[in-house]
Amino acid sequence: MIHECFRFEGFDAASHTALVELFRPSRARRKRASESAVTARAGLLVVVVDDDGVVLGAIHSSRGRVIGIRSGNDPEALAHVHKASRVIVLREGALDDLAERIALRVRREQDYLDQLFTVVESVRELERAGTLRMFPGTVARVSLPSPEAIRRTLDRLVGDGNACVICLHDDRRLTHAFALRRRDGAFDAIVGPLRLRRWAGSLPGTFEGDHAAIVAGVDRELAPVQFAISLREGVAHKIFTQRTPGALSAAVAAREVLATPAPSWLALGVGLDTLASALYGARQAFDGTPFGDAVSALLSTGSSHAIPGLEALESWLELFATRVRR
Amino acid sequence: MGEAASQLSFRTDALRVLSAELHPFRHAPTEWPTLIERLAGLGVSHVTTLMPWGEHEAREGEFDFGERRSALAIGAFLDLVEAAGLRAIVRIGPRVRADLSFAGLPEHVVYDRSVMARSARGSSVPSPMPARVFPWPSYSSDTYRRRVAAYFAAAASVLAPRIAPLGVVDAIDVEDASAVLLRAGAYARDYHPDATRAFQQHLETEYGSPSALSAAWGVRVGAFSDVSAPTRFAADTPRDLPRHLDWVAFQEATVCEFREFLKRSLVAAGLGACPLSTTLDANALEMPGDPRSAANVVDRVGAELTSRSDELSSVRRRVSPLAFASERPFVRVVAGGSPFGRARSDDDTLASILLGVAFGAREVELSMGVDHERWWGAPIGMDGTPSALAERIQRLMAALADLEIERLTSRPDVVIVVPPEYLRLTRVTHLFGPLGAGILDFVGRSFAEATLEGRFGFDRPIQHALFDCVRSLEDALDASHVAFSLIDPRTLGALDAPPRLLLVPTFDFLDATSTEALRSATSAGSRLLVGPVAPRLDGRMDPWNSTAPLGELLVHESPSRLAQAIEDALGQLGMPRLAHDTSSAARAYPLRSHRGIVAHVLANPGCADGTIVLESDVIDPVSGEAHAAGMPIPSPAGSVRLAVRTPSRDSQPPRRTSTRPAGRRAR
Repeated sequence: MIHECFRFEGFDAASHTALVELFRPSRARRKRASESAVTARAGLLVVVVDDDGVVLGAIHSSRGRVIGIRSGNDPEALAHVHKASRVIVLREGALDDLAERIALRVRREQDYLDQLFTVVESVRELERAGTLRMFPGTVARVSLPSPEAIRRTLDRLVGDGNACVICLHDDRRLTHAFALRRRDGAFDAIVGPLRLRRWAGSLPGTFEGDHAAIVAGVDRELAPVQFAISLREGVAHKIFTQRTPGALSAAVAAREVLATPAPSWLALGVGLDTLASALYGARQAFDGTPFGDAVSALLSTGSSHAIPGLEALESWLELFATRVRR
Repeated sequence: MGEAASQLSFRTDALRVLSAELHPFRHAPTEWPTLIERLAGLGVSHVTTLMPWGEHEAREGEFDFGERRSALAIGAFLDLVEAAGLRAIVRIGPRVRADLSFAGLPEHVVYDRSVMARSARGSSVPSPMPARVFPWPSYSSDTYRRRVAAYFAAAASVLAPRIAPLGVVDAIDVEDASAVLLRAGAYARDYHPDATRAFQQHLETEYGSPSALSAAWGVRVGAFSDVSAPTRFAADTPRDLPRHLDWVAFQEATVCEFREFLKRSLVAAGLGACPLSTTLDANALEMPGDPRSAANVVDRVGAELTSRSDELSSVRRRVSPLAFASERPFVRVVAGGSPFGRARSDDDTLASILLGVAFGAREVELSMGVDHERWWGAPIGMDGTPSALAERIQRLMAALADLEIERLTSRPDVVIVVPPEYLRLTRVTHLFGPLGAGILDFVGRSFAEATLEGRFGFDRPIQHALFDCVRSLEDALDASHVAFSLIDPRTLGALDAPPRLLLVPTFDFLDATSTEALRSATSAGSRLLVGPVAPRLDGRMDPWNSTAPLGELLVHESPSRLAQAIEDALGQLGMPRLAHDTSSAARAYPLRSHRGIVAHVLANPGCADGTIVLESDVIDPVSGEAHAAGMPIPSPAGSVRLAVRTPSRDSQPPRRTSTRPAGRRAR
């Protein structure tokens, strides 16, 4: 996934911060989480137990050291009592086991994606063996795509030798932009806003104009753009953070989301989003009836995540939209 | 007043080192002159450069110092640095990290089975850093050491003719601090056969006889060669602890011994005339691991700083111990960041430099000086274009040169002494085994919070209590507005004139080395406050062989009583107080030279804006703001700034002058 000769260019301290913060809870967010953890379920609780189930220690990602836990047998109950949104119960030595499994399996010729997959597989094995338990959900039961499937998905987004572009725009100007290039099956360049602006020349300062200029710049200087997407910041928040039904289709119709060229999965996503919007309306109309219940069940299970490629992009953009709004 | 007597002799022969890092192998040689010129424009005296082993010996036994790949012509690069009127520091490794695959080591070395560090079950120990997971080498591996020595010998062909005083290279920097990796769990590694032999030798040196070891460990030991290292923590009583603490002490000793090996290899290669330097890994309390031992081997001892502007306490823990341990303490301040590093702003970079200087750094390296393909945020872009940071760095470097940074001194007369044996207990009781502190840092938690709850027969869980205790002492001293440092007993034991007030977190046991250093300081006139528990056992968990109290016992359970006791001691010793703001956390840390106080670092690590009033006219050389004596100087929350004393207001016309009267809050 990451090319051995990867390059990260065109960032400054501010855009670096924006990028890294995508993957890290910010201080403000950690503080909020810490405050809300007092009353609401939030954060990760990790409990370490010995072979007899005796608790050796526990730490909460928001509140730090937790004392007084007597048993790790019921992760769900721990989540309720200690107001954690997620609980991991580790048997003592589980992480040593994990490191051992990784050491035995990671091979010199594997790329980073294969190596990461090996790590995930090892975690699943630990969970199956009962040395690691999680609430809610389990890694063991989730059907994970193989590295090959992930590569095929990435091929649909940005094939070898091509680039993709993601931009965010407020009402007046481009606020964030990143371009990625793929080579030899891995990302070998992540280019930040400083370089993209230089490649684009003078930006017109309009949503459509800036999108076109950035895409043209990347196309010319980096690699043919396989797909590019620009979102208005507020819209991104609605679609990916609030998950308002119908927001995606409405935004595409109103040209608040620009995709170049519009890929088939986006069209399908818009279609499903429209359908979801209709179903939400139906659920409200038939609330309390067997039909309403059936629609609710459908809404809770069906999602655009069934579309190959969209899930990864959606997750990434969700993170992106959440962070840049702060 | 306020400085330990030992440091009142100001250095007169010191070399000024204000440096910025540039990686020539990442640029075409045609770009080098421009980039060096841009660095010179920042006002630095030195260029720090790298010699990544993995680049220079990409194929086993085939060294390339520019013969095949021109970008590796380190000799030509150093000649250009000299021609530009600058000096050089060369980071030779063997591990330089620098966002390179395999941390800069050759692939053929890390995949040599005889080089790999081993887990308790004999497997390799993978390092998870992108772009490729790779097996970590063993410091104890004879093969690894032979290959390092061969690389140094090859590098000497280029470096030896360029070593000072005849050449441009003023220092060779060895190894690289790796905060995340070296703080990995105590039992994650190293069970390499060569490491096991070294552990047995270490025990023989420490204990002298198998019977002494048997008594300490509570197991029957026939010969040292029969001893195996513990592979997981298991303890119920104090008697169960020595074998685990010995194992961690051995790991620390291995790092020191490897550093000595590197020095021997450089001497053997003909590079012994060059001063050496290194940066130290930080322990669980963020303090550098054993700076005194490092200072016995290398000339410059440094700390790498990736701190943010409000992390004053972290910088103090990392840097202040160096000022007591080394004659040439330095900071390597990360400017900008790599894709996998902390996100930091320009303000964070400047703050790190200033806080580093406030707590004792006398040399500054900027890492990076020039962006590269995996780095952004340096003052100079990849193409040589100065960034917004460049001008601020230039002003700061000029100010530090004017202040004669190399002649400043900072050894406060109040120190917190942290016995390493308690930190070792923290490591062996770490809950997350092989995971380093990095993962906890990522989610904003401390290493200390993720340790076992057991007491092991002690009054309280020392592995947790230590951190609470140190934090309480820091808070109390900060509340009393005094300058203080943190040091370890080995450093204290080496001082001719120890600080006048020593605050020492103590618990049920205390190692003989720590005890001796503290008693020696008391004999030399230091006042010693210990607690919350008076030690009753030594490091081998035998009863203390002395009934004499170590020092005055502090009561930690009541913060107000603790603060009052410390305040009383400070008052009795007549300790000077820092200029401060009563309504915020803003304080002014004085920078002293042979001319007296020449500047202050104004730092406000709190959440409320504040002001500081100083007794002389000052100017902030970075912003250009000038402030008259007695006028409040704004010190916004989370800010760090420099205030240089000016002879008079007329000598340097201010850009902006504060005119608000003292006592009024400036926002």
